[in-house]
Amino acid sequence: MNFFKTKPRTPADLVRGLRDAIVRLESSAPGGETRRKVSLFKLLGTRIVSGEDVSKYLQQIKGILYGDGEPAPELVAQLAQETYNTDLLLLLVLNISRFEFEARKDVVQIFNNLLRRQIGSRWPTVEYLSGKPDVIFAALAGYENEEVALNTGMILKEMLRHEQLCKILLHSDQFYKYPHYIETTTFGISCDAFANLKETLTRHKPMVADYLDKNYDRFFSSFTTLILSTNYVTKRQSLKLLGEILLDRANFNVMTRYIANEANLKMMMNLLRDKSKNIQFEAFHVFKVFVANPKKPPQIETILRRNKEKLLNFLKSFHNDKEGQFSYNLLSIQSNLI
Amino acid sequence: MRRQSNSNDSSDQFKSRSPPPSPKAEQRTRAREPYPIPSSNPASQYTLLEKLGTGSFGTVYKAIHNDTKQIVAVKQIDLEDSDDDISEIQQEIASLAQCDSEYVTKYYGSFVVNYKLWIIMEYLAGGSCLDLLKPGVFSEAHIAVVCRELLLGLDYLHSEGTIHRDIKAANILLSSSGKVKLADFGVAAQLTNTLRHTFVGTPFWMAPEVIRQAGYDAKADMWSLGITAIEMAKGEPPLAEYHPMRVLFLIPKAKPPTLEGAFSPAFKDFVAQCLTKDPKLRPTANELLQHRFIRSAKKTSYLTELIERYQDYRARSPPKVQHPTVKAHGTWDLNNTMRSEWNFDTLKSVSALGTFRGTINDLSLAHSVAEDDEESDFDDRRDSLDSGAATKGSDPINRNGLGTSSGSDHATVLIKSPHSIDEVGSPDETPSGAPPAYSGSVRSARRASYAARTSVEGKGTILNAADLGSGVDTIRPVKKVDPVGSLRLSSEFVGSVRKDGGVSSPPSSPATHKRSGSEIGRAGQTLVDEVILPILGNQMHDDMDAREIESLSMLQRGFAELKDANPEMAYNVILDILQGINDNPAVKQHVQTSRGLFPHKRIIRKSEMTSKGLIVTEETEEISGLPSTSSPQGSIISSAAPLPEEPIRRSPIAELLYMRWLEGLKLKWPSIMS
Repeated sequence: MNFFKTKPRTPADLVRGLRDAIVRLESSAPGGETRRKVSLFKLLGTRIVSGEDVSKYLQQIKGILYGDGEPAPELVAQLAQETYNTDLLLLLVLNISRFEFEARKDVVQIFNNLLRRQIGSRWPTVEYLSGKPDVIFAALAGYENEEVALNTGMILKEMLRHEQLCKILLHSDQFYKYPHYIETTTFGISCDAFANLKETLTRHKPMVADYLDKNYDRFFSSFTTLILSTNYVTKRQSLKLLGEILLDRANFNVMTRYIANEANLKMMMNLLRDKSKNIQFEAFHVFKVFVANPKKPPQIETILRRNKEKLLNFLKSFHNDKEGQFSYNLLSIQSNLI
Repeated sequence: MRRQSNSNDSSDQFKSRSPPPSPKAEQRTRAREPYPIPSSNPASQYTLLEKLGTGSFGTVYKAIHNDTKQIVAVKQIDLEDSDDDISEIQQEIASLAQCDSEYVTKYYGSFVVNYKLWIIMEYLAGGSCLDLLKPGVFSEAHIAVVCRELLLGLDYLHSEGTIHRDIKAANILLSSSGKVKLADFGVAAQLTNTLRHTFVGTPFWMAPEVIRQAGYDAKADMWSLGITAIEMAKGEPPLAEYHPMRVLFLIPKAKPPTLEGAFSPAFKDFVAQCLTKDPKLRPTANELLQHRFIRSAKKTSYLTELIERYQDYRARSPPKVQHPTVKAHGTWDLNNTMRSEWNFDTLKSVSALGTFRGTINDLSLAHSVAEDDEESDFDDRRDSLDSGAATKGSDPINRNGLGTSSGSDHATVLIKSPHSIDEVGSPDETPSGAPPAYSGSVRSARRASYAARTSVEGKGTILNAADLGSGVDTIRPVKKVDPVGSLRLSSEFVGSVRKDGGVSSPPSSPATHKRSGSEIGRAGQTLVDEVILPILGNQMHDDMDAREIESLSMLQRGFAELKDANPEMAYNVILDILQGINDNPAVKQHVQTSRGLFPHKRIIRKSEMTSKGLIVTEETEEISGLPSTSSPQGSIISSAAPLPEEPIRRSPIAELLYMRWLEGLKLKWPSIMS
């Protein structure tokens, strides 16, 4: 590891060196089951060397970006350009699981620093990534590996702040992998994936509203699986997000479609009877929109009328320990029912 | 340090780098760590052994990982009970998961079983520093070791871009061999390039810049470390005698606390360095590692003495018999750690996971002032439902809705009192003013709603007493605090001290008397508003001693309240004081010579007023025989007195003062005044 003594190195050297180290890491440990079958001793002998190389390059790159107080702009510019030229960002995200624990965090910091880079009104890294959707998808795919999911999740979140990048994800098929990730991971990861789903759907409202309008069926059939999840956290969070989406002014068209559908009403009425009070509560937020609709379609009207007595009874006893505000809502709902 | 922790276990490295393992492979590679393996029933991988404690946020168990037979701590959080802040809990987990340091409690994983979240963490048998303080304060040598380890931990965290934001003895855990670890990342934050503004922490330990919300960074932890050092040396943090609402006011205002007593200059200097008010001048964790107090510290194994001492103490003091049910009486935990419902003193190492946040908080009514920024046609926003019924921050009685009960079937929530070493001796004493300590419902009585707390729109959240709890509880993050509203509330706690019962209710403001119609009443009001309060206010300035500030605040509040309650009495009190000064020759003389004031001059002045002019010179000698000055400006009440040139008086005060003095004089010197 005497390579380390030959500094200072130019950004180009660093980026190239990092690339090579990552490639060595990849080849020395050809992923999957095979790697795990090799004896531990042998693994340590080969992999750790490259792993440490990667860590050191990452630290040096981080040093340039964050500097000791004052990062040198021309070095940063060179470094950024070099990462674009070599598609380093994709390589980093794809291989992050092979890096050492602290190095993974460095990747996140480097990635997000570059992403935030702004020259005048331009965002060079965002522009670069707009042409490299694979980076976005690779960050999303990070949820497949619990060990790096929080790191890639942070990268993804940073990308979603930019409408162009968020739009790429939203309009892709990969977007529909969110429910899978949310459903199959443990709590911490699942929550992170959900937070990013929410970010995708709520940060850039007009863009999302347009998407939802045009992809209404596909989106809601996917989203409904989350609402019907057997996982309490998923169910509760997605129901809450549904309420937020529907009650957002930007999504007015989407809401009117949603509340015109009797299957949706039935689902909410069933959720009102969920064992969990929080679920009931979130369901009520959506349910009341059906009731408050001044132009209820006949089938919705019919269901509400047919269940009027039951609903009134239910609502009367429903969380009657709640605040005055809540009772007020109930009253207005009830009067609408009649 | 990073290298240290990585290199001492190479198999660990391998593990941390291995790609997504199938459950079986993961089991193999992680054979020595008690991680949960994703499965349909991950809970079956652990056997709960013993309840370590209960808090509003859940229950902590000591448990064994069946595969490895390793002891772990399992924190169970009832998600159905916590309101809409699942994301906050996730934040804690994410912070922990990003730490790999021997100075930070290890996090093994988490999963949801029914409504409960299980968080699997490292079990630390030594207990928290707060536990270890129960038998008595730490010696300086012990504190030095703890501080060094804390600095190493903070240096790691800060270099990783994390701020802990809640450093205090309760959040510092010890392993059985004396290793010191930071715990409870409930409110930790990632450092960004910009400063943080979120109002979070535990009042007594909070840095001035955090309270001021002027923006803060990792240096905030250094302040808390200094407070914690005092806590370990003295048994409680500085200002512990004050109400947390007041503490929030006092910390930024007063000069920093110092370590008083028989301690070495090195230790005192260490504390003073940490408690540097300007965060820019405050040293970093890394810098303080070079401090002489730290460099001379012993090995961590030395801390086993504290653990042994605590075990002896526990063995000597049998479990206190508590009230038979928690519901009926409440468990007033004197040590701010979690308690089980029954025999809590038999529990071992109650704070294996640190603070359980927000006990009292959960029982409070929300006072959210978050404003909806937009409304849609059917809008009936969550906020409006989430914020409690009481939305006015000006109703101090409702604020402590501690007794609020509701038909919830959820776990009993315990109310804890401030920790105070002095009280440890008599924990059986039912604290005065203890509210009925139960309430199951988090929904109907909650702290400022999540929506309100995270809102950066509108005025900001008014912090209220319940949000602060007893001041030893961690405040949940509040993005933007309404400074005016909170300050107004804070002033309601002037003079209230933390009693055994934790948060004492602020004195309720009596209904304002509307009988200020009388002359004297009006005079009393003016006297207080225009003279007394401004004078007291002018006395207060930054970097005064906290007690001085507090005393002046109490006087201010006292006068203001008396004015509201009975302006005539306020009037009489003030004049009686003046007369008292006048009647006491020694005092009078002193006042006259030191300030050049002549309270008695007014007597003469007034007698002069009958002849319209306000001439104040020559009459002094007539009364007291003391040398006179001819300048009336020195008079305490000169601001209210009309100028001699003015034919019409603007204020009734002077007249009334005059009448009052005249009456007094008539009694004393009837011959002169007749």
